[in-house]
Amino acid sequence: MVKGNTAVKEYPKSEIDQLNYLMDEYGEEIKRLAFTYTKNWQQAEDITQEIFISAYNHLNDFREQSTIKTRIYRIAINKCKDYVRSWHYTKTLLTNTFYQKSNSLSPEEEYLESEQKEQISKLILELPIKYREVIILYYFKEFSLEEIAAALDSNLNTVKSRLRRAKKNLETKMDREGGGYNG
Amino acid sequence: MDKMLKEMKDDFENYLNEDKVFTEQEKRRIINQVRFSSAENKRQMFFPKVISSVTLVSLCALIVFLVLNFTDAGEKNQPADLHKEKTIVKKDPVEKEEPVKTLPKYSDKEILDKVYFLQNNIVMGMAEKEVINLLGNDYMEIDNSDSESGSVKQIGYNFLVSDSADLLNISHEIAVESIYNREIGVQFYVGLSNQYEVLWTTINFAEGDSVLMMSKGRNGRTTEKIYPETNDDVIRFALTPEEEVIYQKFLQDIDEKHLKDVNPISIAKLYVQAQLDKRYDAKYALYTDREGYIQWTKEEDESFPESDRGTIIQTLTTFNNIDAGSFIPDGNYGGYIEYEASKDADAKSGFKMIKDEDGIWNVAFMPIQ
Repeated sequence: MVKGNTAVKEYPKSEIDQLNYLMDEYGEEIKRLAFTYTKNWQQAEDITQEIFISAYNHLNDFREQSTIKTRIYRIAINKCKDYVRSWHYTKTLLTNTFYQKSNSLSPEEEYLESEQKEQISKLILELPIKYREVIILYYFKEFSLEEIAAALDSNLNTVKSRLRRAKKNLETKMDREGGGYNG
Repeated sequence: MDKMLKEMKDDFENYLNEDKVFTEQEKRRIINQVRFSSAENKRQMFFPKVISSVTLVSLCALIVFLVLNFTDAGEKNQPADLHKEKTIVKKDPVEKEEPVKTLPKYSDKEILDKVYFLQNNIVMGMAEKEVINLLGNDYMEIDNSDSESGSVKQIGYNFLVSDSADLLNISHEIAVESIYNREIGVQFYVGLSNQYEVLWTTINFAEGDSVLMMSKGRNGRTTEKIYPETNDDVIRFALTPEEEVIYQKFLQDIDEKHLKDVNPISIAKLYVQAQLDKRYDAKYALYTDREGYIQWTKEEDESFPESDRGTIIQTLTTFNNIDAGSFIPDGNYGGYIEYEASKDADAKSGFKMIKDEDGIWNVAFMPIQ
């Protein structure tokens, strides 16, 4: 996959067309990214709407210094982080996430039924946000380390060490949950 | 690990959802929203233009009117002062003095600041004289000799009153409606022992659409919604006397040694109390410091805006009945408190806890995630 940098000049001319283009190109992955922060599809939908409206209001900022993909991810990440820190988020989770938990299978049943990669996906979503996001961006959204640094407004070395710690953290969790990964 | 993660991109996406999640309908909704906002902006841009055009036309008309009048005055050979007199006489002084409804003088922020000042500065065992030195002489003394609380008298203050006539409008009954309307910002009662020392305090004030009461004394401390009353849920949070002792010690030095052997539900309650008291330093210290579970630093925590921290009523509603919850261990050093915040809720609530390496139970970051 080409690590996604379409220059702004290739944008359609009308602003609404530009927004349509952004949504066609990134809507699906941005909403999925939002879910990895909120773990709730309704909230992910609300945030995705905010992200694209914000992108529309800042179309002029999509200039040479930043690629479109990095820029939209940066808006998305900031919106998601604002949201998970907000009161509204924690309040909503009260009646939502926990509802899922109380209806889910017991850990034993869950372990038996789930495949290893599903188990790892679950563990990734349980990582603290700062580790979760670098793993998702690097391995699943196929960002380069430099692009992650730009999207997170962080420096390259921080991203490198955070990615290293994230993997270490994930390994520890995997060991605890079921004897680690053999592969 | 690298290889495995690189290979599982699709598995991860499928784990999130196997189907497409961003629908055409959502796209249309965003486009509509953007179009609506653009139309609103245009409208906002249009009105200033209309207003400036009207202003310009009015200005021209005024100039023409003045010029004509001046010419007229000159023609009739009258001094300009007469015009002034005429104008004054035409005015009806009675019309000018329409009664204006008095708005609350004090903002909710000023009210809350006063509440926290009282909460932090009037402490148990303080002498009556010290209280009066700190809060002033505008208080009412209320006989309290038959009280079950053990106090022989109480004194009451009204703070931040919109009308000074309300300053000493204090009785046994809490002036709930005046507080609700912000005519009285804070109503504060102090119960005194036969040694004339503070035995208990009660602070009544409004926040949003509710009137709240914060009280503390020998029996611990309580924060509850007293108005408007609801038929179903009682919104109330209390620390037991034992928890209050631990809480006070913990607030003094923020040292976890006071939390040793304290059960997880009580720890969660200290966390809620710290949130209610806006003691964010204590609240942060109650988060786990187990490696791999820390989600943000103390400095980051301090930078969170107040607007993201939640109101008192939100805190009370969210953690309502947590003290009646049951702790369910989950894994080697985890667990959660299952409780019923509201009878109307679809499901029970959960509050995550983690036992740190030192064996002390702490609160997980974002405990209700």
